[in-house]
Amino acid sequence: MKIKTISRSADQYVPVRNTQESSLPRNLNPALHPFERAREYTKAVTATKLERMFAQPFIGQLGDGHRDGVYCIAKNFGTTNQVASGSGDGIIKYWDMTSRQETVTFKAHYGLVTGLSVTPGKTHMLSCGDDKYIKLWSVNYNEFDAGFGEEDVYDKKSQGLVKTFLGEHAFKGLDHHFNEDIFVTGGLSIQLWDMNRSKYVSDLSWGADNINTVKFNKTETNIIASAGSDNSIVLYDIRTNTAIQKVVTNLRTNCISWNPMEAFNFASGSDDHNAYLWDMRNLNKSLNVYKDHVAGIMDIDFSPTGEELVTGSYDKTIRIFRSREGHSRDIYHTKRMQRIFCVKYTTDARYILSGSDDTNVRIWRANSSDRAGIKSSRQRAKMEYDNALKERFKHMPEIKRISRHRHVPIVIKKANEIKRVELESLKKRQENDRKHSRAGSKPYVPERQKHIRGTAIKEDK
Amino acid sequence: MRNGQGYEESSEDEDDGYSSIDENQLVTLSEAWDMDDKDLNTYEKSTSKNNDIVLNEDDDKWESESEPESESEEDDDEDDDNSDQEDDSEEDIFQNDSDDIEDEDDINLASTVSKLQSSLRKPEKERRKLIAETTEENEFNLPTNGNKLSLTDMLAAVDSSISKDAILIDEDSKAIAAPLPKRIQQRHDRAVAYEMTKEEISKWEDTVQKNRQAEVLKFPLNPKIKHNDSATTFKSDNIPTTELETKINNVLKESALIDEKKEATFEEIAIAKMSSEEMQRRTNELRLMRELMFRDEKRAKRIKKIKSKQYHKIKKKERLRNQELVEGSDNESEGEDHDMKRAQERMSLKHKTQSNWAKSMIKSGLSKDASNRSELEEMLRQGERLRAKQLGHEDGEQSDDNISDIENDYNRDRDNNEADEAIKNKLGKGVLAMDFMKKAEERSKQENLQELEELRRLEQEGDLQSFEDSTSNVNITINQGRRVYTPSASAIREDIDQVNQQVLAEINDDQANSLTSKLGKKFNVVANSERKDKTELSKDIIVEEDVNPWLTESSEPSQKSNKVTTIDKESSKLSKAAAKIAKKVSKKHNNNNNKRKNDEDQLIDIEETLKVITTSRGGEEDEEEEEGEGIGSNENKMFKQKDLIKEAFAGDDVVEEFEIEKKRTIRDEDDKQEDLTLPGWGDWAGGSKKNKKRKVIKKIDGVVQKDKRKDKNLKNVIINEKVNKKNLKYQSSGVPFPFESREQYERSLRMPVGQEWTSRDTHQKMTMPRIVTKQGTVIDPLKAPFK
Repeated sequence: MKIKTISRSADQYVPVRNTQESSLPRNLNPALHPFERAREYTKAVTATKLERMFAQPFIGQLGDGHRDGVYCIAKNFGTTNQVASGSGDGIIKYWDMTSRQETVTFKAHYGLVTGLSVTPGKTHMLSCGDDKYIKLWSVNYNEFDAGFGEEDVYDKKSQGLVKTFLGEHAFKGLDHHFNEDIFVTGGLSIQLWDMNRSKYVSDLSWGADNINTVKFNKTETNIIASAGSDNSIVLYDIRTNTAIQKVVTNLRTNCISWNPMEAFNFASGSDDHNAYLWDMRNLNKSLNVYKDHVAGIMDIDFSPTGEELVTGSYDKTIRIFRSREGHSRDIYHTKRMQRIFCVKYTTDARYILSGSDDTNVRIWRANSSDRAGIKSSRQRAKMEYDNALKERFKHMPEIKRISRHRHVPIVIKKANEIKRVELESLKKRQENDRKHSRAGSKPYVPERQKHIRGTAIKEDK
Repeated sequence: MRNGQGYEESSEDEDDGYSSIDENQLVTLSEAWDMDDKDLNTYEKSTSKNNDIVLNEDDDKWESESEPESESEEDDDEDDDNSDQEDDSEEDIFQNDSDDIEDEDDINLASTVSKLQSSLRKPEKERRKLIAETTEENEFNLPTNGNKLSLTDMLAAVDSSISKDAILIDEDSKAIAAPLPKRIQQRHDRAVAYEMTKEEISKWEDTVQKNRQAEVLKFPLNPKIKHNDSATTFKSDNIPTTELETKINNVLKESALIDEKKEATFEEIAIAKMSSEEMQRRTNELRLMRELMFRDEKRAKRIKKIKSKQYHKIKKKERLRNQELVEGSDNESEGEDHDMKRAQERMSLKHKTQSNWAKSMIKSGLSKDASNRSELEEMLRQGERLRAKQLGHEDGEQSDDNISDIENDYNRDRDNNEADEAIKNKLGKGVLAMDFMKKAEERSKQENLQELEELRRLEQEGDLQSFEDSTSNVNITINQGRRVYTPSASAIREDIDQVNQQVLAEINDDQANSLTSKLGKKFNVVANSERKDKTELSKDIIVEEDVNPWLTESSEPSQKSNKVTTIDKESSKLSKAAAKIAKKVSKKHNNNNNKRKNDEDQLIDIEETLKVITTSRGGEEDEEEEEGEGIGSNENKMFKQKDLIKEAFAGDDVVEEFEIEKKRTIRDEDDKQEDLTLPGWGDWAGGSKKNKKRKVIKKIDGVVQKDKRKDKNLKNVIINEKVNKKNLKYQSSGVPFPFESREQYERSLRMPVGQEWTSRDTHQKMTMPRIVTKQGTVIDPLKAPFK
């Protein structure tokens, strides 16, 4: 009789290198692994709890921050770790995020710095302010004497200044073309500038009111979106050198961000506490409404992956939305953080930067329980498994409760409650109105169209 | 800027020097108006027309130049522009043409002017009259000296040849439609531009959709492929870098040891000379050679390893034979010689005295000792005997008396046993003298003897019983002390049994002739069956003892009876009749059987009895009706069982109990009302028996209201409608968003993803995150694949 013995070669389980993990043979006999659903559910609950336990979104602040509120942040699209920030006292700073220290500081403007942008290619940054100036700065601190502190900034004004453009009015908002030497400024009128000319190239204004923000599309690079004080969002095309479409909303739009992965979609943050997702081809309705804030949204930014959005609000909180969901997946806040005026994702989609009234620039994790350290393959596999389980059982009541649970400042919680009551009563009133008026005279308006007054160029429906 | 240019133009014109009119003579219109009549006469002709044109030209220039740049300014002073525009548009036509044919026309113009002059002067000469200017001279009313210059006058002076080129005279020309107001124009522009942009941007649609639907998105999307330059791909340039290298290189060159050209060319030639087919053939050849060599080597190794002497002998023989064949079969007589040779050889080889012991004996001279000598002789004799035996085999007479040969051997052995023993003892302590060797020898001897005896018996008696027994035990004897579990073993055993039975049957057939054998056989079979039955009976008894009396119905007999119990009251008459017939037949059969059994010492056939039971059970009622006698014992049994069951469930009114229970649960789970009115509360003393109007009744919500129960209309069911709060934790309240039905959602949860339940591949695939980003890598905005 032939006897089969269990034999395992040592090659199979003894690791080759001492850094390598030894493999664990598994027995796949189903009799040894009963209750798979129950076990996986338990694992999912544990994973969710652990995620909440390890949630530490705040990393730190950049240097010592500014001396005045931070009103604009611009990222360098060429690197992951360099950003510029501008404050209310006209100072702009260029930061190295790795060391969390500033590399250069300029006294750029008298009064507010209202627009900031890092140019592609050469490391320059453009700033504009209330003092009718646009200035081009070099951030290659090797080119000039960079060893000055903030005190010296006020004396050595001209250092690092490459070029100055004089405008006709105070500027509000500035954005640089993604790869060409063109930039656009907002203000009394929206103007297109060429870096090599001293005067603007063309004026794209449509309507008389102020333009507050301007944003170049980063994928279809010749399209600009602007938001103005007349509650309008206007689109421009610099190839045809005209404005192309305008939509007017109920309340003012404060910020715009183009989706870097979907050329025709952009998001806007509005004073009505909501953010909206738009398809530029059809502005009769927005694609999605992002609710949760209890004050106007001051800045919005798409993650470079195009999957998530971050919003900073006047209610002193940052919220992160999945672009296809209506409610935020996370809320960030600290006791000391004041009104937030600018938020940005870093170019590797891992961190979020926020600038607020309290003069600080803060770094946050995009995923609060993420850790940056190098993970072993087993650790990574475990994490992926956990995430898959969380995703799979996310609708179970217990897991849903745990994963949604957040501690929120009492002010915001209260405000939320009040807002809910208000909205409910409003709804009730409308419903009553509808009930007591001729049938069909007060149609239901979808939530995605409620905020829209109308568009300039009517679409064929 | 434009005005400045206009002023400068006069000097520029001087340089050009193409005008026939002296530039200095030109006077502006305002000057002309200031001049006296006399002066006017001299200048009139030239100024009146020319100046207009110059002015116009200036104006046009200003317009045409300003247009491209003034776009932005136009927006600011839109109103001004609009007022100007109409004038411009009229003049545009004139200006365009004059620009085009400026050089020529200037000369022509001069000629026409001179002609005009001449034509205009003529009437002046003829009659002079005083003209009193009644109207005041101002900008709207010019002093004309009574001569009015009309367009017709001027036209008359124009040559017909020239008039062809003049645009103003073109009668077919139509006025261009006035442009749309700027606002409306811009609106149209925007609409068109928007359409164009939409079209352009819709090109992204496919890419975006693809990315949205992708199961895994790895960022950055199009990573740069990095080539890892390893040492193998690194090509060294043969330029010496260090001092030592240069030195060595120089030395080599001087001594003409290094000649790159030569080496290179040699190789190149070798390769170049060969065609691809040739190359192929050569490599094939080489491969074949190598293969053959390798095989040969292997074979040699294998053969070298073989230790068997016999094999080598055979090999040698073969070799010799081959050699002979090769040498040729020249001498036929050599065969005998060869035999002789071989015999000699064998003899020498089989020389017993060549064993170590014999050698030592001979060496030491002990062979002369009587005992030793006799032993040696004995050895020789033995060798001789073996040789003889071998020769006998070689003759190919494997005859029937083989056995007898062996027998003889053994007989002889038996005789010689003691002698052998003695020899062995004398031989001393070799391996053969050891205990286990002895035992083994003994055993083998015994076995052989047994076999022999058996065979002998077989021959004598033809009784195969014992043979059968022995064969049936084959497996057991083989696997001593081991149980056989494998199905294969039992299968083998069955096979063996089968074969044996066949053999037995054949033998029986053969021996059928003899009466005695017949009788013997019969007896045998009967005895066999008897034995069998006995064992079976004993088994049955045991079973009856073990089995629960309640369950006897479901044990073996009932299973078989199932086939028959299909006849009920409802079944058709035909089937009933058929069943009756069958019963009768079986009864008869049964009776016969019984008789037979009585005859044959009441041997019980199990199958027969079973049949009886089944049939009897098949139609109890009918039997009872038809034949009172029945089959007494069996019937009794059945009655007993029935009674037992009845007894066991006596007083168990299950249905009613269930009804009661259901009513109770309905009542318990229904909403309840509790009267909380306190007796005497709010009454005057000496409680009146009036019914109170205000009763305090508290309503307590139950689990479910009576009318809303799920089992309201279901007869034999109680549905538990209590909500288990512990279960609630594991239940999703509704079908979550992306799923459309409960089944779909459940399906999504069905297959586990863990490593314990799936293969590694599936596990990895299922746990792969949708978005994978790389740390510290910039994620660029999407780049269009279509651009």
